[in-house]
Amino acid sequence: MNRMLPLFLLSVFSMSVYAQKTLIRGSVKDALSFNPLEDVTVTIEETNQYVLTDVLGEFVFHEDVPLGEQVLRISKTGYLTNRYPIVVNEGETVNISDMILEINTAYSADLFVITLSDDELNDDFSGADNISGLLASSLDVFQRTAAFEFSSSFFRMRGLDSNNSSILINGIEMNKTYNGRPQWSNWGGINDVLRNQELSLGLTPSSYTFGGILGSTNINIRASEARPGGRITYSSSNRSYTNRLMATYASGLLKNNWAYTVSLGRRWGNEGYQDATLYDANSFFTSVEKKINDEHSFNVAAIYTPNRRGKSSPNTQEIYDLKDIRYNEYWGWQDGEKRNSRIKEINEPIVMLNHYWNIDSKTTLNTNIAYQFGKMGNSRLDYNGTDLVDGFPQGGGVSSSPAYYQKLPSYYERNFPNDLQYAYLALKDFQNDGQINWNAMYEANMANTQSGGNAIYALYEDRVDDRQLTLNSILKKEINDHVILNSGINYKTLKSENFAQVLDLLGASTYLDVDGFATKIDEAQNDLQNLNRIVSEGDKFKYHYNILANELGGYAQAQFTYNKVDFYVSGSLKSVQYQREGIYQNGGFPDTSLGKGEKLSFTGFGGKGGFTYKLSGKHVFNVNAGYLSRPPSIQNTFSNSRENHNIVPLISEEKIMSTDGSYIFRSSIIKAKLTGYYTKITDASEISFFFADGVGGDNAVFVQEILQGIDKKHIGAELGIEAQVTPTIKLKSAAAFGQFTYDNNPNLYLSTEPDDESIDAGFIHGFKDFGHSNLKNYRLASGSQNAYSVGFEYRDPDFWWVGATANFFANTYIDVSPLTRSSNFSTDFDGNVFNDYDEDLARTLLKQERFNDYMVVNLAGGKSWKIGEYYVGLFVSVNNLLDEVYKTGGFEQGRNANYRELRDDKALNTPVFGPKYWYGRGTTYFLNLNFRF
Amino acid sequence: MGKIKSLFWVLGMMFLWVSCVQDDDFNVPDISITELEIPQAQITTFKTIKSLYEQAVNNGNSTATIDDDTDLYIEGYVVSSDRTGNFFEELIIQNKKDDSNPDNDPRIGFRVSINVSKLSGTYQFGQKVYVKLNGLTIGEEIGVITIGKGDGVNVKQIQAAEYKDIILRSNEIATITPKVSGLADLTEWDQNTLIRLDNMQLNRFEIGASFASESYDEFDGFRVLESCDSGISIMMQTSTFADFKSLIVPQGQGSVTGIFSRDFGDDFNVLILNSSADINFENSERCDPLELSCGIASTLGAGNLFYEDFESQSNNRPIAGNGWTNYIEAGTEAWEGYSSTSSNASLGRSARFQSASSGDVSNIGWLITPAINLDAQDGETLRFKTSNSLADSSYMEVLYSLDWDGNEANITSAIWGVLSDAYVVKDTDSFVEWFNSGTVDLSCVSGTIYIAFKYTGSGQDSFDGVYELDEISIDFVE
Repeated sequence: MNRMLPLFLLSVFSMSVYAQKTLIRGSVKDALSFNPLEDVTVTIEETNQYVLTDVLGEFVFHEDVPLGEQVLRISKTGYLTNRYPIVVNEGETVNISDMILEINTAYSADLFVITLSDDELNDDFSGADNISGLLASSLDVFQRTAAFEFSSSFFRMRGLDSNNSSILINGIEMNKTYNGRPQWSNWGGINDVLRNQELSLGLTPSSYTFGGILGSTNINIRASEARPGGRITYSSSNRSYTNRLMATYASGLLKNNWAYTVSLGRRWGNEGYQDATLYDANSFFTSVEKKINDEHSFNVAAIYTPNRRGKSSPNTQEIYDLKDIRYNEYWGWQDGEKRNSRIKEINEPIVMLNHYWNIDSKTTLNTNIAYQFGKMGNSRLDYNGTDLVDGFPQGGGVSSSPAYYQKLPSYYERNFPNDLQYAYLALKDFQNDGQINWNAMYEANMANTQSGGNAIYALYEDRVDDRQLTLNSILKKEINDHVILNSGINYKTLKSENFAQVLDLLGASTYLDVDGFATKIDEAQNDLQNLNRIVSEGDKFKYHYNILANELGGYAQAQFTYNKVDFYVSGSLKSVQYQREGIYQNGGFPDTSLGKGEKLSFTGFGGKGGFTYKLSGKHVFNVNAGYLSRPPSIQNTFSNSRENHNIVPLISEEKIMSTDGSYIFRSSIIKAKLTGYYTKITDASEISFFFADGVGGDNAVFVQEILQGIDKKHIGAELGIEAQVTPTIKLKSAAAFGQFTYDNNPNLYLSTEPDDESIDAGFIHGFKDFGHSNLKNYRLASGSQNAYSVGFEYRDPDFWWVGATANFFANTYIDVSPLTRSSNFSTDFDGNVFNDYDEDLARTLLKQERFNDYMVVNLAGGKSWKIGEYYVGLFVSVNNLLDEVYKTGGFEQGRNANYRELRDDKALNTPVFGPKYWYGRGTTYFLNLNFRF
Repeated sequence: MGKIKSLFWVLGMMFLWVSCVQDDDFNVPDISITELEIPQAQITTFKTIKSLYEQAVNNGNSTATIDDDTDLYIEGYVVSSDRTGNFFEELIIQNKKDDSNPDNDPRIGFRVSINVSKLSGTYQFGQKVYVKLNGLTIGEEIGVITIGKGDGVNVKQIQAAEYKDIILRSNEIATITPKVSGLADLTEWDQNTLIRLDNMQLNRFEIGASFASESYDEFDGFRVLESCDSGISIMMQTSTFADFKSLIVPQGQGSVTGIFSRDFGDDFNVLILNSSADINFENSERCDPLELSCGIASTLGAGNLFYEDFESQSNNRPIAGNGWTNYIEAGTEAWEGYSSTSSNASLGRSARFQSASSGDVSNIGWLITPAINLDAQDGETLRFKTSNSLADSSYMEVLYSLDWDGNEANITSAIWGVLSDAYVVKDTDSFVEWFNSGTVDLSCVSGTIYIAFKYTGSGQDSFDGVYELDEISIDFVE
């Protein structure tokens, strides 16, 4: 690579030289769409001189142009190479416009995309919520690097949550109303039919939606626009699934004006990189279009991708040290098989009808209706089954988690410092076993059943059954060559039914549906309308409620395109209503849980504008700015929706102010983009759940932690650079420097059961105001805040290629616990500061953990063959070649909520309630073989 | 169309793989236990183990440790259950399924201390188990014989990682028939075993209280269980972590089944229930005594009807004279005079009842005043002082009768009620002080009254306390 450098420098300098000589100029277009093609390598075969086409698909040779009959070779990755003979005369300009390139269907760089969107996206198992899939088809070098290279780690674009981007399918927004995030599993495994994507990055305008501040993607699944042909793909990997098989056939628009696409896929495996993370997913897709006439066309599509995945646990460092980074506490042996207790199942089919109407040559109206239904379930173990004795629930088991803190050596070291053999026994026991003991739960249940009792242990599922109807219309009008108007109107209505369901009573047949922790029989009731209800497998229990949501919104924008400048303005308005409807009357909240609660209304609006100045084909400047006020998601609105109607105090719309500016440089060799951005989020709210020790003195309670009025600041710069140093070798590099911080001290509230323990801890009706949490300037836990990548690609003309990158990640921080940054940390039960409070020590205790920086090396390569009329493609990638061990994320446990608890815990060699971490995967491979016809 | 055909052929193949993932299709596993075959020679009796411990104590050691090298087991039945949280990190194991008590292998129970909660999920009530004694330590914790690990001085808990190799299960789940016993008959040999007490009730002062969630309950709630037959009482001990701690104690009368044990401080006997369902009060009638309660008098009259300070009595001689009736209902001991200047001092000379070393199975003694005519004057009151010396479970009552005829032969057939306003020293009071009864008003009754000081105890260790009495005065308003 070093030898290339002088050449690279030379090229840069030579470009500034201009001479009035013989010229060859021309342009290249896509054979199908007739859109200009950028980055096409145009080579004069005799001299091997070459240039790349610019944004307009144009190129020019003006140095040492050979005379006479010459052949121009035009080539671009993913396209079939073409050769054009020309005659060059001295002092004249050869102008060869609109040369065309045809897509080489055998050779697709989108292989990367496949691996990503299956494997990493929306992966709540690793704590990462990856938005990279949004960017994978981007042409921007930085974005593409982020998608391909940073995604296997926990990296968030600009430190922002994926709910800042919109994913649309045929113009219909697919983000979940519950949390605003796209649910990638809903269209997983049908990658072949999701290739037609239209991307708008950041604030840049989309023709379909106003979008979020990270941008929007519209996936076009119209049958008439699918690339005709068939494709069968087999993949093998050791990341999440073991095997994948997909088959797709698209007819293209047939003579009878019908078009159809079908795709089927299956991904499966008993274990991914983490222990017992099973994968069981099927995908069915069909899209049928009928073109009525030149004005009207209808498309019907159905997507059904049921999938089940075994989750893996975050673990404390103690556990990783005793086991390894593949360790998963959620499974145990049963009948010689690994049984995972935490299965996530998503089964939410989508059907949609789209109408495309070309009102006139300049105006289109696209009207869509979509219905999504089905279920989402997350299973877990309950270990608190009781029997009704003397009118009161008695019994219950012990935590079935093998990594429960009382089973680990650290617990014994802390509590039996003079009997370290106990810690040693626990260590050996955990190392030799350390998994869920299913048989013990069966034994306990069966024994209790024999004596007339109910199940003590139960496997159940938290269910969300959504039914959502979306209607929208999108109008696009070209006023003239320079002005395009877009507008849309959108209506969504959602009924989300939430409940827990008994899956398996593990050898027992009944379960007493009460809260075994309550001290009064009324408060113990999960449903006062059905006292002391006995449930069996398949029954709903614990909680049951609906969330009703309506959303009405619209947007309008104008895009102006001129020779030197482009600009746009866009505005949106959105009104949402949420309402909770309790089906159970919770014993802890008899008056605020049943029936319909208050109807909540929020109104959001947004405005944005941007300006691009094209100084020349080489130098482009771009600025964007936007202001959004957006309604809180359902997740962050109801503070304890399983039990009552309560809402987050002072809840309001979240405000986002975002601006960025870029400089884009494009030459025939080098393409670079430098962007600076600043985003400020105010009035956000977040809700999390955990068990807290040391709340109000030394009390322990299970709580919902409500953080309200959060301000966040995201500031940073991105750089992407690519150098085509020879026609076959490309060097590429990307860098992200960010600083993502809390920008104020938000309000902290805890909500819990209104029982005796919470009263002791100072809660009133299960609610306590902890004042401000001193979070200002703590880093947000949004993955690595700095990331760099360098790499190269070699693309051989003989249809094979290989690439390697080294990726560096730095400034990765732990998610801090807001409770320990509140007044609760320093104060005793009576509100006075602990008498042994040491401020310096406290500062040390509360210092945010920064993880070690790390480097990940990735390799990838591929080859394709044409065999008769068929194409065969092979793609192989190896991630983390050097098997680097690194933390991608983690969070402080909510236990140790005060100074004394935390001090005593951290004083130990191995803390009992140390933070829990996610580790990145070691060396993994992915292999993809496809066959096309 | 050939392409499409081959495509669907491949798809057909593809879905043959569907069954590949082992997912949610799990059957109930076989959890039966392989029955152990332990050679009879390796099984020893509870008695042997108990003797081993007693020998160690006699030799000045606090614990006995079993040899680690040779396999040695005891065979017993689990009689405790921590399912409701009233037992915690312990198993109570006894060697008999019922009350059989042969001399060569008498009925005995041990407490096994294990650092694991919810053991009931593994060891059911009535389950036959073998305790592999190799390397274990026998000692005393909370006043009962306890098996665990040890460091030569103390018994320590068996740890979570090892208990399954020490307490070995058999498939046999036996029906355990508790030993039915009177309270007075319970001895140290009954500790750690399952006992049923019949005709019991919660003392009338416990009515309305919860098992263990009153403000004064720390760690454990103690409720007085009393026998309707003998009047003897025992503490029912409930953990403040028990699931049934907030339940209100039942009101009626009937049987109670539980483990006979000692309180945490080893100060008195307790009965520990596996569940609130172990109380079976099928009889809604209670057996509360007749009570007289005129309240505490606001004024003390200057006139006196009867006074006794025992100064004229003789030490270690039965109280006599001054109109006293000193009646031995059971046993060989009576109320006697005594004096002491120790920390447990008498008030000059006082009266006491002491059953220790009497050798009697039961000691009941009455000290009854002469007849007092309540119609001859107004404002009659009673005062006295009491003290104790380690009351154990023995107890003293202050009773009255309006129908006794003064004849000793008719004492037990007369109707005696409780003077409930009078404070009588309690088991839990310090032995040092003397406690004033308060000025007990008698003026709300009419007729002739006798006041009796009644002691109930026995010569057995668990029931042989001492009660002291002095400065009895019956006054009136002139």
